[in-house]
Parts: sequence; structure tokens; C-alpha cells
Amino acid sequence: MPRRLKDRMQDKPLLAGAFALTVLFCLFFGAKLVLIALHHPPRPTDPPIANWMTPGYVAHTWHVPKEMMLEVVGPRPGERRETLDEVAERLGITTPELIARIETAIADYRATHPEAAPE
Amino acid sequence: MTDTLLAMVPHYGAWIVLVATFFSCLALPMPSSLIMLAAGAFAAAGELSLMASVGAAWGGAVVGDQTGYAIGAKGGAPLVQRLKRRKKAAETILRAEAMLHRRGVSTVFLTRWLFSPLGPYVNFVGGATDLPWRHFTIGSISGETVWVTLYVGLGFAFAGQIAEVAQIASNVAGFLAAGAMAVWLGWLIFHRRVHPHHGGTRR
Repeated sequence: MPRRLKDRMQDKPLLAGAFALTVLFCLFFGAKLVLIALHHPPRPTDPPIANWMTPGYVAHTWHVPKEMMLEVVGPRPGERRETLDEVAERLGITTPELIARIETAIADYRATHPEAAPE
Repeated sequence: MTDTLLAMVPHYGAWIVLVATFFSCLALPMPSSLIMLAAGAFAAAGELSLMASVGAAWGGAVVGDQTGYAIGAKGGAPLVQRLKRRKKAAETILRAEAMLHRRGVSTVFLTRWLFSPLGPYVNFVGGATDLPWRHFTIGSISGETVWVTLYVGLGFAFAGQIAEVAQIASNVAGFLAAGAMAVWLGWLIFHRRVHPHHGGTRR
């Protein structure tokens, strides 16, 4: 390091410390981004179905009609949007059971509607 | 934890988006990016209104910025005055203040979205160093528009991959914010001054 730069760092130890810390943070996030880019699995066509999703959200992300989802989950009782956890509770089953039912229904739908199947 | 949070978006709709962006402007640990992405995704699925989601996120952010600025002006200004009287800190404070004031609008604008993790601190510092309110507000309104459109828009476009998008976005934001801070601190340490006693710097 040139002498003048070193002098300046010693002149302002607090700023120099903060500077070193931000450089480290920058390298840390940069390395994480490189790792994501290298190891990211190819984007799945169908995102895994999770308890926080609503039937409409699943229909949208799996590219199936909402009417098909309605047949599985039944009409919602009120105006309130239901998550899959709440639908399962209303139907008196567990969330994994509900998710399995939805997955079966989507598979059946795709079998009869080849245009709806993912590429 | 993330699931509980995401489940709140269909339950509370635009309100949760507003609350999240408001508090994130005050440096509170709010996963506002993830919530905006989720709101965009639920809007794409037809479960939420896109305009309401964008409007709520924007309103929360703009009011949050003003709140942060006011907190800085009330609580931070006396501290800045005290630091200016301390010989060692005064020079740095004056130079930082001069730089912020010279590029007030663009600093506020860019720390809303491109360097968003720095945003809340710029709110406090802007208020504490008496950054002209009009400059602050122009930067805040334009910058928050970009921030909100970006995140709700990404959620809308990548509805099925919001967790992945959130992960990439948070690392990009961290990288850019740390980089910007490093450049700024490097400038404060290494850049030679011509008129240190007037808080002026070589242009």
C-alpha cells in the first residue's frame, strides 16, 4: 500500500475499519451470488405446493383452471381468501392430504388436457 | 417463519404490504421485499388487486420515509451538532454532510431501490443534517416508485419462484449496498480536500 494511503488509514481508524468491513461484506455477498449462479438448479416448472398458498395461487402457478381447483377444495365459505392450511381444516383433513389430493387432480387434469401439461 | 409470513399476505392483503414497507423505511427488520414479491404473485393469480398492492406498498414506503426524516430531524440533529463540535469528528461530518447535500436528490433516489438497504439510514441522516425537505421528498417519491414497481412487478412475473427471486434480490441488494458504502467511505478517507474548514471538497 502506498505510504500516503497508509497514513490516511491510520489518520482515521474508525473510517478505515468501517471501510474494511464494507469491502468484506461486498465480497461476501458477491461470493454468495456466484455460488447461487453456479449451483442453482434449473428452474422447476411446477413450484412445490405449500401450506401458505391459496387455491387460486396454485392454479395460476401450475397453469390449471381455477374451476378445477374449486372441485377439489369446494367453494369457500365467505369472502375471505383461504390458504391451503385453512382449506384442509375446513375439509377436516391434514394439509399434506389436501396437497396430495390437489396433485392427483392436477395430474388427472393434465392427462385429459395435454395442452395444459408443462413443456 | 417464512410460511407464516407469506400466509399473512392473502389474509390481510394490501394492509400487510403497507405495514411492511412503512416499518422497513425505519430500519426495522421487515421482510418487505418478500412481502412485495408475494403481493405481486397473489395479484398475478387474481387473488389480490395489483393496483391496491402497488399503492399500499408505495404509500407505506413514502410515509415511512417522511417518518424516518422527521425522527432524524428531531432526535438526530442535536447529536450531529455535538459531533461537529468535536475536533476529530467535525471534519468528516462536515464533508459527509456537504456531499449528501450536494447530491441530495440522487442519493435519496438511489438508496430507495438500487442501494435499498441504506435507505432507512439516509432517512435519519437526511433529517439530522437538515437536508432540504423538498429534495428529500422528490428523491423519496421517485425512488420508492421504482422500488415498489420493481418488486411487485417481479412477483407478478415470477409468481411461482418468489422464494428464489427473494434470495437473489437480497444478495444483489447486499452486494450493491456494501459496494456503495465502500466507495463512499473510501472517498471520505482517501480523497484530498482543498477547503477542509469550509466543508468544501475538491470537485
